[in-house]
Formats: sequence, structure tokens, C-alpha cells
Amino acid sequence: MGESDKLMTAKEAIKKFVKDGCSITLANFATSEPFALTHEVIRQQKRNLYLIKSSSFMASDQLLAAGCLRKILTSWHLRMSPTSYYSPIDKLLKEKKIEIEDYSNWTVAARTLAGAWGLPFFPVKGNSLLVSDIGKIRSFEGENKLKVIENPFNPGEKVVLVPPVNPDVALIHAQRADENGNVQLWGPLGDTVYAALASKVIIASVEEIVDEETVRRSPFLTVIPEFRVNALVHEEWGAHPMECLGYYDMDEPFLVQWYALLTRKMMESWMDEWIFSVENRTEYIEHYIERFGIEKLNKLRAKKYMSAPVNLGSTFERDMEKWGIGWETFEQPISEMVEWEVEE
Amino acid sequence: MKVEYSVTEMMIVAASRLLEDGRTVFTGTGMPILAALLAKSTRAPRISIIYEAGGMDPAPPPTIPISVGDTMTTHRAIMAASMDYTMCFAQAGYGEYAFLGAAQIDPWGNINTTVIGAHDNPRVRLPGSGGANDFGSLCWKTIVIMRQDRRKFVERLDFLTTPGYLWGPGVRERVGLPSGTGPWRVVTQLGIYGFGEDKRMELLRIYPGVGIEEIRANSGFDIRIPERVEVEPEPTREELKALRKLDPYGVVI
Repeated sequence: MGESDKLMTAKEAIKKFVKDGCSITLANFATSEPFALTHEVIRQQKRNLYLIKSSSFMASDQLLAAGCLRKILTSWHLRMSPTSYYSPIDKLLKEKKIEIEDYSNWTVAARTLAGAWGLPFFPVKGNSLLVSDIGKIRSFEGENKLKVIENPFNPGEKVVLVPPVNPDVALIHAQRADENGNVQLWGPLGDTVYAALASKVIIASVEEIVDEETVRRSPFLTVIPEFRVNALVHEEWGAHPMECLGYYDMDEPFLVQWYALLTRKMMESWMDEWIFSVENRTEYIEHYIERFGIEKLNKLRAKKYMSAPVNLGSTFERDMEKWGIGWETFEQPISEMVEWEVEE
Repeated sequence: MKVEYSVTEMMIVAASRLLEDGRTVFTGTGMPILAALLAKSTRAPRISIIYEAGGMDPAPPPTIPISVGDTMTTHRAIMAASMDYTMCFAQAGYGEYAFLGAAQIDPWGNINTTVIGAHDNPRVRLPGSGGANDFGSLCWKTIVIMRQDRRKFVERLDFLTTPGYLWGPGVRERVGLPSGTGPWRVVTQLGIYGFGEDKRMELLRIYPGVGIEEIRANSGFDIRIPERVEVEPEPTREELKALRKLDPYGVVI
């Protein structure tokens, strides 16, 4: 394996590509979250970021709580039911420190799809946004949240269009990649592919760096090709406390801790302990082991459940001779061949 | 011997009985997932549960998915797809049931999962639409499962996230939603509701031990109550056993 110029630490990748005021997306849907990368964004105290994310979980909540975000375009942002728990989104909205633009899951995905395909807009079936308050109440997108046109193929029919969106940077955590940056991810794919491909820069962290041969023997698992990946970060436990299929499960007790914090102060001390007091993901995991023991971590490790093998083989040759026919068979013009078959 | 069960168990069992075998179900996070899984592991083994993140009809999983993007949604699935792939079924009319939760519902089955209070000055910011607006708009029969009280069954929503019948018969069609789709059943801790010809909510079945006055006391709008109301049977031993096997740690129930 040669030295790859894409391979870098989370610290280097975030420093190089995430600028104050830029737009970011977390390209994992609700499967894994790129915590190694988002914690680095928080550690570097990036400000005024614009988060574009269909369904959002703990990583988004932490970016909010840490004061990194100014705007969110989302369809869903997890909060726990009891309102006694501290919820940064409530507080920041009330204080007018963030703005939120609501969509549905599919319409956020449709915007990234248009972004990834280079389309001017994407039509949304059923006018579902138009008749709901999602369409009526508009925040920072204003007029451009959605537009209605007449279907040129069926005059009289109204069609809702959403505009493309192209985040400056996508952060994603996946199972593995080769050194060139061919990212492989498996499990439910959500809107991962379009969220990533719509973005101008892609930073991927992976559990494992494999050799190129492994990728070439399992090409159907690749979700982002090397030429779109700008930075590759090798980060074991990079999605903890979310799961990474085939590597580890969700750490539910640890994850719930975050959502059960009752005050802003408690949230700040959580971030101090788990984000600011550690240098990187390795130290985070070391701290976890110190606090809870290696057994607890080992309990999360995935058991083996291998996919059924498939044959990707062929004869790997195109030898006409072995079938007793040669290229001369096809030398006649097609029209004559047809005639000859008819005579037969 | 009397079978002991919780209110949540009654809700999930009642909801699971609504699903006809062999149909496709798009399901939201929480109780809807559990109700769909219960149906599949009891009386409707051939329903296809589709999780919008791409999990297509997984075998009953060793642990219940805590969200529609949980990796257990592709464990022993027939396909591990993506959101654009699953959404095409809803868009093209192959989504038969949408199974949703809600924070507020109005008499026409419009639901709010976005905010209590004003959008830019919330009392409580709720998670938002997720896929609810998409599925509630496009699937043939939407089933809503939620607890009811006067703050949740409201005449006027704080925010309309997912359109039901909007404000009467024919309105969905008029505004461009697919004809013949819409809310079909609402399952609460007291009973099961449907929608009459005027597209307003009406009581269909009541749970054992629940009185009509409780239905009225726990709604902020008038619910039409027919002269004769059937009682939904209690959960059977088999249903409860299957349900508790699905959620042994009580994550949902």
C-alpha cells in the first residue's frame, strides 16, 4: 500500500475543510453517526455552521448544544418526551440563536438528490408540503423553500418543486474503505448516498482500512468512489455510542445519558468530560474504558453473521474458437445473414 | 385466570389487529414498529414491513429497532435498500398502510409532530415530520397510534405536519393528494376511531372497561359516537406472549 494523501487525522480533516459559516451534512441517516468527526468540529469550536440533515439524532443535538450551529434544515430532530429534560433546540429557538427550516424526510432527500444529480429542482408528488404548515411556515429559505409550477405535460396540474442543496462538507462514518478512499457501507442506506454526493467535500471516517483488493472483490458495497472523497480518517469506535453494523451495537445506557441531562450545566460538563478533555477518539475510548471498564466495551462488539457468498466469476475469456465459430461468421452484412436464416 | 396487561399493550395489540395480511406497511418509530412486528409474528405473517431508511421486510429481529434506521431493520431482510428506493413505493401507490405516531390530532385526522406553541417561539419543539408527511400524504390507509387527552385531541393544531382530510370530504383530492388515500384508523388508550362520510373522527370500538364519558372527557373536540359501540377484545395470551418476546426489556411497552 502506498502512502495516501487522503489519509489524515480527524483533527487535520476538520481543520482543513470545515470553515466557520460553512454548510455541513451528516450523511449517515439513522444508522451510525460520525461522532469522531462531529466531536472534532465541537473541539475546534467551529461557529455559525448551517446543518443540512434529514433525520437528526445525538450528533446534531451536540453540535447545537456546543453552539456550533446557526441554521438547521431538517425533517426530524430527536428529543426525549419528558419536557423536564434539557433540550438545546427549545432554548436556542426561544433565544433566536438558531433558525430552523422544516421539511419531511423525503423532501430533504429530494433536495440532496437534485444537488447530487446537478438538477435545477426535484418534483415532489402529492403536494404534501403545500397543504401542510411545513410549506406554509417558512424560515430562512423563504420564497425558495419550494415553488409550485403547472405540469407542462398535464396542463392544470400543480406540481411542487424543491430546489437542490449542495452542502459544503459531508461528514460520514462507514465500516471500511481502502487507502484510496473507496468507502464501503452496509445496512440501511437511508439518504446517505445523495447527502454525500451532493456535498462539495466529503470527509469519511471508517472503522477499518482494507486493501484495494478487498474493495475490488466486493464492489457492490462501495457507496462513495475514491475520486469524491477528500479526507479519509481511520477511527475505530468512530460512531460510538451509535452502532456500526458488523462492528458494534448501540451503547444505549451511554446514549440515553445525554438525553436525560436536566440542565445546561450538566450538558456542558458532559461535553467537557467526553469532548473537550480528550484529544481524539482514541483518548475518548480510553476514557470510556477507565470509567466503565473494558468488559462493558467488549459487550458491544458485534458477533459474526456473515452474508451468503455469491459467485462473481465468469469464464474470463472471449474465445470464439471453443464454440467452433469465428469472427468470419459475422463478416456478411446483417441483411444477408437474415436472408440466409430464412432460407434455412 | 384473568390476563393482566398494560394500557400500552392493549393499544399495540389493537393496532396490530388492523393490518390485513399480505399488505405493505410503512412504519414510524416507537409503538408503530412494535404493532407492525406483532402483526407479522402473529396473524399477518406475510405483511411486508418497509422501513423508510431501506430495511425491507426483515424477519422478526432479535432486538426491536429503536428507529426506522436501526441496523436491525436490515437483519435477515429481503433487501437493504435506501430511502429513495423505499419512497418510490409510496409515490407510486404501493404503500398500503402508513403507521404513524402523533402529538396532536384534529377532527379531520390532520396531525402535528412538529411543535407545541409557535414555530419560531416554541413551548416545546417536537421532533418534526420525519417521513410522516410523505407517508400520510401518499399511503392508502394511514393508522395513527397515540395517547389521547384534551391537549392531544384538539380542534385546532398548533402546526399541521401531516395532512389528514384537511377540512372535509374531497379536500385532499382538490389540493392534489392522491385520490382515495388518507387517515383510516386512530388507536388510543381508550379505543379505536375511524372517519365518517363527512371525514370527521368517529368512535368505532372501545376497550373493555372504558366508558363513553371517558372518550368525551379526553377529547378537545366532539367525537361522533354511534348508538352501538363494539368492545375490542382484550389481548389474548398468545398476543401478549408474542409482544413481550418482541420487547422483553420494555423499551416501548
